Amino acid sequence: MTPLRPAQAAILEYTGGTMGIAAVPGSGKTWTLSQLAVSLIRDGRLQPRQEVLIVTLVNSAVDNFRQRIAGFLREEGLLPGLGYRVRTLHSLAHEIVSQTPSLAGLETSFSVVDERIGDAIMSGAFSAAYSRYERLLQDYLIEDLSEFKRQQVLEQVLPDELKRVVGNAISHLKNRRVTPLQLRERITSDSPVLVHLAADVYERYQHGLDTRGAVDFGDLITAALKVLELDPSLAEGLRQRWPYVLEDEAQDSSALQELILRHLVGEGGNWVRVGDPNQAIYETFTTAHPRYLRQFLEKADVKRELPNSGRSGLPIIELANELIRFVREDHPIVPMRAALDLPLIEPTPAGDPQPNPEADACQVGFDFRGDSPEQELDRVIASARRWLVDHAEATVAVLVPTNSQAAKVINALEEAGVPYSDALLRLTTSTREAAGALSLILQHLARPEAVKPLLMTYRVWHRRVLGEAETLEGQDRMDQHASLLEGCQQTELFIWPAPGATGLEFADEPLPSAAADYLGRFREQLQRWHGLVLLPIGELLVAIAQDLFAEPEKLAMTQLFAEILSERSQFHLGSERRPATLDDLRRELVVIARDERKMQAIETDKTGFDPESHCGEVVVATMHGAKGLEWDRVYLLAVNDYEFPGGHSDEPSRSERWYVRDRLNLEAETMALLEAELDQTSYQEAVATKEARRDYARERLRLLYVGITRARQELLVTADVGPRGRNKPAVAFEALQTFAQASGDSTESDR
Amino acid sequence: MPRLFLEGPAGAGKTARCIERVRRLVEGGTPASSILLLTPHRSYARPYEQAFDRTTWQALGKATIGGLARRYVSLFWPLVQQRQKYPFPTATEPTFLTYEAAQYIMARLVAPLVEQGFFAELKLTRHRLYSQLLDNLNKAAANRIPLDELGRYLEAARISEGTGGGIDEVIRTLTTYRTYCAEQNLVDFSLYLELLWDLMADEPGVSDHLFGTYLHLVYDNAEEDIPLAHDVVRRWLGDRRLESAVIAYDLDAGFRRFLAANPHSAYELGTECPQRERLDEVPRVPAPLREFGHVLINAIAHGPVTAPRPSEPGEPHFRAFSDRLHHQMVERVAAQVVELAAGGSEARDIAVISPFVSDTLYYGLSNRLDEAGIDYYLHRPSRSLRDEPVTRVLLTLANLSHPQWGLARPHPEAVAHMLDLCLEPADLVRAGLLASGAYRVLDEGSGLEPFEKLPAVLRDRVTYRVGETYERLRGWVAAYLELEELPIDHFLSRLFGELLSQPGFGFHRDVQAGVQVGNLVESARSFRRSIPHAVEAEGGAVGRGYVEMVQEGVISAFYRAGWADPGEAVLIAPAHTFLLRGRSCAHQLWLDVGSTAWHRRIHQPLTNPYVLSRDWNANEVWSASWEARFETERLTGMVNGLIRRCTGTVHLFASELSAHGQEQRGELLAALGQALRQLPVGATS
Repeated sequence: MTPLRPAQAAILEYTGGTMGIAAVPGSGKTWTLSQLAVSLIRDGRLQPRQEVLIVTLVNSAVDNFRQRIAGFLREEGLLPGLGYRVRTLHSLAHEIVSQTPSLAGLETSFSVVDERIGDAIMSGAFSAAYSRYERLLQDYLIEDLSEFKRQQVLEQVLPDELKRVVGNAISHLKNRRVTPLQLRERITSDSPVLVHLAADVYERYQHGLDTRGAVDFGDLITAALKVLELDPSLAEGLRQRWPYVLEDEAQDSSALQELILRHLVGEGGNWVRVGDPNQAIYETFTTAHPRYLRQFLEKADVKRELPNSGRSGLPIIELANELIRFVREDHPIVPMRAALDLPLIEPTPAGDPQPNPEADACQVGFDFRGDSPEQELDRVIASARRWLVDHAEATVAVLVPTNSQAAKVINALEEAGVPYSDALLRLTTSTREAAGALSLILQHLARPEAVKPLLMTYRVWHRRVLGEAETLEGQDRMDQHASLLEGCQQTELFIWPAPGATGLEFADEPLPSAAADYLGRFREQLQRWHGLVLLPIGELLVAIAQDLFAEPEKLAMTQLFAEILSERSQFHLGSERRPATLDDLRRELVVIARDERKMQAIETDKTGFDPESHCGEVVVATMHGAKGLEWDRVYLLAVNDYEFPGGHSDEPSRSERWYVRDRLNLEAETMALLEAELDQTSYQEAVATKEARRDYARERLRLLYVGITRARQELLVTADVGPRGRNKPAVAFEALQTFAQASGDSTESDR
Repeated sequence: MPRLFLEGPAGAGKTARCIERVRRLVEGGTPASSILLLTPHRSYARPYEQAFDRTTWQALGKATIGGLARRYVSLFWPLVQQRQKYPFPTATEPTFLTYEAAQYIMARLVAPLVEQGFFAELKLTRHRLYSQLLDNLNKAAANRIPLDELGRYLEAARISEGTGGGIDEVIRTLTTYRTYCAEQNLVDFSLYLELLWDLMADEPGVSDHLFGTYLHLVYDNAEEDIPLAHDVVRRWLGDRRLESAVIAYDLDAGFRRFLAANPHSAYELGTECPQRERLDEVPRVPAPLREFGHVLINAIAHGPVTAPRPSEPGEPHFRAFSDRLHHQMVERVAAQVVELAAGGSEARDIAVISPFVSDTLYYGLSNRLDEAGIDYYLHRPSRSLRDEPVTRVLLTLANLSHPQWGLARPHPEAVAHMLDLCLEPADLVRAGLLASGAYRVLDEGSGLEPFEKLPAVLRDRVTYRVGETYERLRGWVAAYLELEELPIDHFLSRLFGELLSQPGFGFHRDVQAGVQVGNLVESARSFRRSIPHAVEAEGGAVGRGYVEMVQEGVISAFYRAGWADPGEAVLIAPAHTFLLRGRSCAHQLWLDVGSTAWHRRIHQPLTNPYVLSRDWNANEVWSASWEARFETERLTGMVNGLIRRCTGTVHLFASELSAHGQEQRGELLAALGQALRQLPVGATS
């Protein structure tokens, strides 16, 4: 086993009770927590069939934990797979509810709708309600709108915004465990229109879920809590099974998560929570908050720190620490000073197996030249291109605040011909490929008379079934045959030739025998697929996939699609109550292929993103998506006062819309109105908008901290003037730039 | 007066003894018609059917308690009315409701209550709501719990906490339903059970009739029957007219508890029998497998676990495999079946057993077995009728032919698929072209336009041959539209007989389709027959109701055929179904060993089979610890039952991830891990 740092050794001494651990970026939280699980298993602290429960934030972390623990157990000569269970909060809640779903009003086969189906149900609920409030909602619009603009806003822009706002309000209500009925009981005819709208949509939305025997993610959490509260013997049984609860990423814990775990742990139980309050970047309009971890740290039997990080070189560590210091001591807006917390990052001690990179090899740069975002991007790409020439074995990432910016970076890299990876932004390629191929075939089956889908189907078949498109020669052949088929304007003559016909009469001249042979085999395949159209969708997809794919990952994903689509085909999401058509289902697959639907990827063995497998190319990600990862060189873009506001209460933030009067943040105001209604407190307009600006600004400071701590050796931070040319570098940018220049690590710009 | 209680584990020869007894009686001159064979379900009578010649079998009295109840309630209907427990209106015979028909009635009564806000917090599809309400009535009747006491049991089951609305809504709904049924002269399963008991208890003439008709009773698989059946038998055992009785009780069974079966009350029948005999196990389960079973069951029950002896040299008696992905597991299972078959195992000696058989699992397996030329037989009682292609085609045509129903008209794609399957010379492309040109989604008429109205180009593409057959179909529908609406089963039957099975149509010479249509017609007929005219007149077409219920997936596909003998074929079945079939085999392949469905019951928020039982003390509140206890009981019962039915090897297959991509860590897998001291690892045995 790797030798332990003193801070890690102290943690592994744990045998029971509550322990809170404040960790810094790169300090090996997963490693240490996995080691702790293994030591509990190894030291015989579990009875047969008992398990250490590990709760973490996202699916990829689940697999990461599983593999680490399995590996450590093997090193110890123990059997992997026994003695631990890793769950996200959602999968844990699912497991709890499944033990006794009827107590939550559910039956065994309840379904959990994902965001897309939830959104479809929400759209139906919203559009049914919106028109009733449209007139009153005009009060929220700015006055100097032309009639045309006003109409446009009321008909398209505002409904989309309000649907999002109400959707978030509903999640919030669920987190507060307020049912539609309870909300309805609290409001009166005098209640504000946004409250009425939210209550109305909530009722319809929930009804839509209930009558489908379905729950959304929010319901799943509250249902878990409900059954735990109603039946103490359930928690007792679970405590018996999971005598130890280890919680990772506890800074993103919510009140409900804490309550659920509290039930599982019980009075005087064993609970370890690890987190870094400075990396809490999922708080805005969720109930997650680092204060739960902070409070726990104060009260825990034992408090530990993981302050050592071997990830970054000293100049970068100092810069990150300076951000903490600056925010806590010198931030000009006092309420901002709570955004970041101690401990500071310490390098690893001498002799550590994970030594920090040499300071000499490190570089910190800040660059602001009044550029537009496009110019900033060009400059960064040019820099990355130069750097890659000498660093083919090293890793580099471009990190931006939002997904849309990431998409622009990708486009620009593509145009510039710089090798890149978008793996962190998307589903796995193979998921998209599988969904894409299947959707093309469904398109053909839905419109078999259309020529274009037939050509696409040929390409899929040639590529997948023959596997011939790998070579240039095969590719040529594919193009050739597809263009031959293009001449076939009446597809029935080819696919189902009349008796006595060859089906190839569409060609102007006799086809070469090789081509005729390919097309003949393709026809046989099509005829087989045509015979399957009346199968239930699940069977249809699996049948096609078995002809198309050999890769386990694609077949597994197809099974998942089959399950999703079978469910979808029964959901009658449209206004008419009719079974879904092939074309409806095809569209669902297209959504998956285009990556517009969040779904869990099934991987054959290893999940998780490994930066080391992307040497020599630029990895593009959002700063959120980069959490937990590291690169030799990191570019942080758009660190201006729009993306990273300073926290002035009159500074506009991105949730405020141009067409809303007084720059109100409708989301924040709706939440505040609901709070006031539920708690019978007074409501003052615009207060919530201002508070939201501050919350947002604080979270963005933490996001910047996360971005900085992704770099091992080189960090280049740039800013731009925003799309309208009005922005300037963020307050923190300037403070850090000054610091870097003073300490002499900085270069004015990238070399 | 011999009264024999035969107990023993599965495979000990109880049924054989019962058969032997019937044979001796018949050979001794007892008329077969004076012997009653009572079983909890028709399928349990199959060994008897196979054992006797046709004449004896036909003469033999055969019944389930439900069948008996229905027969006697019908026979003594005037007495039922005189008793005035329910306000049945006329002296005419009642209408007996099938389960689907009862759901249909319930649906019509519940809909307005739901509008009023009943069951507001329940997260259930509507048809599940109806079926669970009915389940409450059925379980109460099976346990002889009166309706006015039902509330206490539902309270104990904590129904109100899940539903929000409380017990009151359930009881009021059930009372409304009961009253409505009585007023309309409708008798459902729960009611005829209740009425049978009333008649038996209070009307000597009824017992006289039953006890006078049958002088010998053979009651097999008593453990799978409901307490009310046990009560009837208990009463009968005490009657001097019963010349002989034999009751067979399987010590390891009790797999129908979710259907209100009660092994305990069955076992108590033993105290009424002066002769008791315990049949010892026939040593056909190999000793190492038996021992492995013990270890596994101990692990499940959290008892002490010693490592099982390793299999003796030669063929191992238990083997475990694990794959990461679900479809890899399915591939491995298929490969294993192929290997066994190649190694000389008879197909009928192989069973593929899974907690439930999903479409994708079935498809994955069947495809591979087809390729290998191995016959298989799927027994999946829960498959929905709407999943059969023929059904979908017929329903599309039924919809087109009944615009007056006001159902959402079929999508052009559904019409295209219908035409593809129905018109023999058509194919998917031409059918699509035809539908695009000739079908209009209209509120009136069928929406099918004459072929000649199509543009000439389209007619050429579709071909006149297809057009000609299409015209016959269109003509049939048009002629039908002129007539008065036929009952749905008549409609389906004529549609198939007069049109679709004729030359030129897709189902000509398709025997399989003929069988499926037969099932559909039978299902529609019994549905329609049990909805009386009065109800129909009030609520609109029964045909429409039937079509909707099929479309919602309420009606299952296998009416009767499923339980037939698969002959020389590999059986693919859910574990539960396999056990109820009572068949042993040399190779059992257990799939999805990691699934929680092995131990978990089907939870229903409105009912609970364990609490709605006379075994339950209604002052005791249901909790997760009870759940855990019953889960353990169910899983040990199932594992024990399976191993008792294995004469060779149990092959266990797990996949780390389910078809949904979720980690599978069910109790069976955990126990297996403990028993084998390791989790099954890839491809090792």
